[in-house]
Amino acid sequence: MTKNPPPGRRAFLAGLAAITVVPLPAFATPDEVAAAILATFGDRPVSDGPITIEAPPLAETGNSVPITIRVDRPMAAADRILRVALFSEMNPRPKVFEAAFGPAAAEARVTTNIRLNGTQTILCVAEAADGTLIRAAQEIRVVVGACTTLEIQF
Amino acid sequence: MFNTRIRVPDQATAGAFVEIRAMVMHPMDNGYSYTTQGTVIPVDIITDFTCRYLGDEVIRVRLEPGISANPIFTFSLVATATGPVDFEWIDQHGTVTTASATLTVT
Repeated sequence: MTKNPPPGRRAFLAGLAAITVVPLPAFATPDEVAAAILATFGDRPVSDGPITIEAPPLAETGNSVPITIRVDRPMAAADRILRVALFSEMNPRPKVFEAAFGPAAAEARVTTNIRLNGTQTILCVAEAADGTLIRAAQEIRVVVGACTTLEIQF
Repeated sequence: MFNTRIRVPDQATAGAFVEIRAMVMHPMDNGYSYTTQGTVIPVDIITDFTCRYLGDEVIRVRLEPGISANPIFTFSLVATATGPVDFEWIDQHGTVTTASATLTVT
């Protein structure tokens, strides 16, 4: 006479493993950054250019990193800057923000606070009025990322 | 409507670059944080910010969840004539928050 074994240690561990899978945010790959640039500016060649990115080399928290984007070009020039956009390689969503400068702007400069999910290189792309795209990159070391809150913390 | 903090100088000389700061009190939930009960807080962000001076656009920003809570923007405009500096924020539900200041040009 056989009897069904009670649910043993293996079944318990398998069930435990099944319920403790924590959904981590997916990271944006450079492919996704390229796709985000394509969606924002269209399919045009991008060359390295003189964009100044002012950011702290080491940010203690990724929740609020002050960052300044500046392009030193007169706004009356034929190749004045129309738009700038910032992209992140490690954030779950690669695009951080996009700013367009209107006719009353004094210079192509904007300062804001951004979120960063870990140490990474951020990429800034600017569009000039003559249609050319320039880009610049800067590495920022982040001690604690902005997306690290896990369910198991509670 | 959300609370706003804006900083526009009272006076400026014509042709001068004037630095403007504009901040709106908003949590900018990015969809990756949890409540103390363990449930995900859904994305709730401000999506658009526009600043106009004398009716002309100074800057228009498209915000994503990668912007910190209480988004602040610092930028500059060219003072040409006495007139209003208008700020407008739109969140993802369509709520419009506005603020305004007058720049006196001497």
